[in-house]
Amino acid sequence: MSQQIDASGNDGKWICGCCGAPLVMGKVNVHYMNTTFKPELVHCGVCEIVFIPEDLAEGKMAEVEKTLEDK
Amino acid sequence: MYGEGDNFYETMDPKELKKLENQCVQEHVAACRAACPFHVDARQFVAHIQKGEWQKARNTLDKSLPFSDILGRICDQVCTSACKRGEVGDPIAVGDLELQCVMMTSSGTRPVCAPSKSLCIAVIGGDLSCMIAAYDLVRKGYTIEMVVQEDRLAAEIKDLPVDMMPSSVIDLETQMLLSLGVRILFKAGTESVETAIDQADAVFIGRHSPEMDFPGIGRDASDRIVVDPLTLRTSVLKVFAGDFSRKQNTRYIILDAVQGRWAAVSIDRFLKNVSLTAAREQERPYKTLLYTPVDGVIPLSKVRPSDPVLGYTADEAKHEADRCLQCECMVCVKSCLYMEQFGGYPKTYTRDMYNSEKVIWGKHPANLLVNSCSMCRLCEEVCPEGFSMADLCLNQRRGMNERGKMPPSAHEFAIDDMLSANSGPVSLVRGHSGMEPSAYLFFSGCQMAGLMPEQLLKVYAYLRLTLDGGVGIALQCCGAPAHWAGRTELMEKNIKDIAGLWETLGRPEVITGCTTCHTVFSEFLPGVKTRTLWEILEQTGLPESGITINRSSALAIHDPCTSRYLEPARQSVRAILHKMDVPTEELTFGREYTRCCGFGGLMANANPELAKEVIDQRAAEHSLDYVTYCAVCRDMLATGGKRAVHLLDLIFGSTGEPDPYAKKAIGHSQRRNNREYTKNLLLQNIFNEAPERDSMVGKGIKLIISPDVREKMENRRILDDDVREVISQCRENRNFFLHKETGYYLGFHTPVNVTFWVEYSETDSGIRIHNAYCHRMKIGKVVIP
Repeated sequence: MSQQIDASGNDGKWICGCCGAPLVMGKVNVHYMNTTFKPELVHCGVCEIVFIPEDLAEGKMAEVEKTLEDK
Repeated sequence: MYGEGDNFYETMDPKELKKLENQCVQEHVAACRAACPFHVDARQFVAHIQKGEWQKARNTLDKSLPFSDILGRICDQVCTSACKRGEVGDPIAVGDLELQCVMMTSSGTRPVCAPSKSLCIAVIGGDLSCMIAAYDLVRKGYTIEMVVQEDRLAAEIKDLPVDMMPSSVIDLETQMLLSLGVRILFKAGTESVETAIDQADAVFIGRHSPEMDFPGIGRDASDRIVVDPLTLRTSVLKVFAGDFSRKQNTRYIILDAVQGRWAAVSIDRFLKNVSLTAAREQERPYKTLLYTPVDGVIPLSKVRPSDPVLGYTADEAKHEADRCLQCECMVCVKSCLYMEQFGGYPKTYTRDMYNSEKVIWGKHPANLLVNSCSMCRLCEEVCPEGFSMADLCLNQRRGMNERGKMPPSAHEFAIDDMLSANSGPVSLVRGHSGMEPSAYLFFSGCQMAGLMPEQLLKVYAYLRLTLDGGVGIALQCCGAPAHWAGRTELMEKNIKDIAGLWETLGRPEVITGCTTCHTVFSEFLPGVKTRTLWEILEQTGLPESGITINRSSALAIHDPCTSRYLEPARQSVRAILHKMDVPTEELTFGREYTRCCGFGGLMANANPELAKEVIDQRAAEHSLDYVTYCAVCRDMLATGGKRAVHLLDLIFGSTGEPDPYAKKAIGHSQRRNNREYTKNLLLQNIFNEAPERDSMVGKGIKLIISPDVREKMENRRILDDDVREVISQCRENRNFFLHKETGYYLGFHTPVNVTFWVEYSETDSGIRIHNAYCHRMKIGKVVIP
C-alpha cells in the first residue's frame, strides 16, 4: 500500500476541487476491521481530502479488505 | 451483538464433528476391499494395472497379502461377489490379474521382526494358514516352532500345474520363514506335536494337522475342532485353531489361509493379556458403507484370457482392468458445482470448517467455503446418508455472526436490499379494503415486486376477482436473506413483524408468489395456513386472456431450488402449462433434484464468480428455452444469457416486449426503484389512493450511464441512488477533485460502511457518469509530519 501511486487513475492532472491546490503525497491513516495502516497516498495539501484512484480501490484495497475480513 | 434472550451458539465439539464426518461415506473402502478376507486394496491394485504399473500393483498387493507369490497365483477372488462391476456385467477378475502380476514381478517386501520376546508359540501343521500364523507372529518378536507332518510346507497345493506354481516358489517362501528365525520340524511324529504343545505359551492348529487326538480339545460331531467363531480359541485357553467348518465342496483357499492371520491376532492379544474381542468388526469380510451408484454404466463382460492355465497377457490384463469402476461416492460433488470447485467432499469440508472455527488469531480459511453454499439441499437428496451442506453452513454462518467473525462484505448488500424492501416508502400491507380482515393475503415476494411490477398487479387483481372473502396484499421481504446470512436476531424480528400483520389482517390464508417465501412460512410460521400461487391458480382456473406469446417449440422447466420439497406446487405448475397447451420437457436436474440459479443462500452476493459459473452451467443443461416460476430465477437466467420466461408472462401475456424470452436482467438499481413503483401501481389501480409521497423514482438528479459503466456498477453493486448521493454531497461539501484537462469531477462519499467514488461531468441533459467504484476501507486523517 505504500508504493507509488501512478496508476491510470492518477495521471498527475487532478487538482483539489475545493481549493484548486495541486495534490501531494503523504502518509494517511487508513483503517478497516480494527487494523490501521499508514500508506503514502495522494491528497490535497490544503484541504487534506485524500485521492483514491480506481485501481487502488478495486485492486490492492479490495485484496487487503478480503484478507482482513477473513481474520 | 447478543440481544436479550439470544441463544448462545456453541461451536462444533469433537463429538459433533465426528458425527457429521461419519455421515459422509466417501472415505470408506471399496466393496472389494471390504469383502476380501485380507482386505487387499483391490481398487488401487487394479488402478495400477490400468496404467501398466505392474510393480506398483505388486507393492499394493504385498501390503495386505502375505506369501503373495503363492496366494497371488491361486487366489479364489472372494471379492467378486461384492464387486460393483458385477451389477453391470461381470465382476473384475482380480484373481486372474493377481496371477499375472506375481508372475511378472517380484515382491519388494523386506519383512522386519520386532525385538525378541521370550514367549514361544507352537504352530501345528505346515499348510498356508500355519505359514501365515507363523509369519505374522514371528514378526511380532515371538519364538515360533512349526511342527509339520509332511516333508514340505503348503503340501496341500503340491498338485498344481508346475507352470503356474513352480516348486521353487514354495521353497523360497520356506527359506524366507527360516531366515526370519522360524524353526520348522518336518516329518514330525505325534510325540513332537505333544511336546511342542506342552512347552508352548500358545498354540495354533492348522487345517492339515496330523490326525491325532489333542487331549482336552473339544471336537464336534464331524470330528472337527470346535472354536469360538471370533477369537478362534478352542476349549483349551492357550490353544487356537482355524475355523475350517465349511463344507468340503466349497473349499476356499483364501478363507482357509486367512484363519492363520485371525488366530495370530488372538494369540498376540492373549499373550499381551488384552481383550480378544474388542474392535474386530472390520477384521472379517464386511459390507462397505461406500455408495457407488451404477445407473447409466454400460454393462461389460469379462475379458477371456487366451491361455486358460497361464492366464492373461499383459494387454488382456489391462483391458480387464479398464472395466473397473474405481468405486467412489462423490455423488454430491458430481451434482454440485460449488462442492466441486472447492476440491473436497463433505467429510473434508466439515473438518475444514471445524478447523477454521477454532482459529482465534489469524486467517479463517473456510469463510468463503461457508458463505458460498446456495443452501439448495440437492446434496441431501442425492447423498445416501442425506448429508446436508445447508445445515452445516447455516450453523457456521450463525456462529460467525455471533462471534463477530462474519466478513461484512459477504451479505451486506443483500441485507440492505431486504431492509429496503421492508422500509416505509416501499412496503405495503393492505387488506382487501383498507385494513379489514380478509380471507386471503397475497404475499408476492420482494423479488416479484422488484422485477415484475406489471405482472404482480395483474395477478393480484385476478386473485381479488376470483377468490371469495377478500384478498389482501403484503409487499414485504419474508426475511430469507437474513436467514441465509445467519442473522438470527434480524430474522426473528422480521418473522415477528409478519406474524403481527397477519394477525391484524384477521389471520388470512397466505398465498405465496415465491417458493422461497413459502419455505420461510413453513419453517418459521407453521401456524399460518399457506398455499403457493400456483396451487391457487390451478384451482381457480386461468384468466381468459391466455397466452399472447406464440410457442412453436417446447420449454424446459426450471424449478426454483426452494420448490424442492413442494411437490404440490410443482405439480400445479405443470398442470397449468398443460392446460395452456405449452409443451414442456424436464431437466435431468429438475423437480426434487433441481439446481439453484445461484441466488439461493446469497451465493451471488458472497461469491459472484461462482454464481456466474453456476448460472452458465444451468443455462447449458438444455438447449430449449426455459420456463420458471420464480422471479429472481428468471432474472439470474437472463444474466447467463439464457432465453427464459416467467409463468406469469405466459398466463397474463407479456408486458410489451417484442421478445420476452430475451428480456435482459433488471439490474440492482432498477430492482430497488421498481419496488416503490409497484407499490404506487397498486395504490393507484387497486386501492384508488394517491402515493404516500412523491415518488423519488425518476426524480432527483438525472444520470446518463453508458452500458460499460452500467456493467461496472452492476458488478460492484453500486446503485443509481448511491451515485446521486455522492454527487449531491459533493455539491454541498465540495469534497471532490477536478481534472485539469477533461474538466471531470471525481467525488466521494461514505454513507455507512462503503465509500463510493464517482467520476462525472455536468451536461445539459443530465449528469454523465464516467466511472464509479468503491471500497470499504475508511480513509482517516493525513498524518502530520
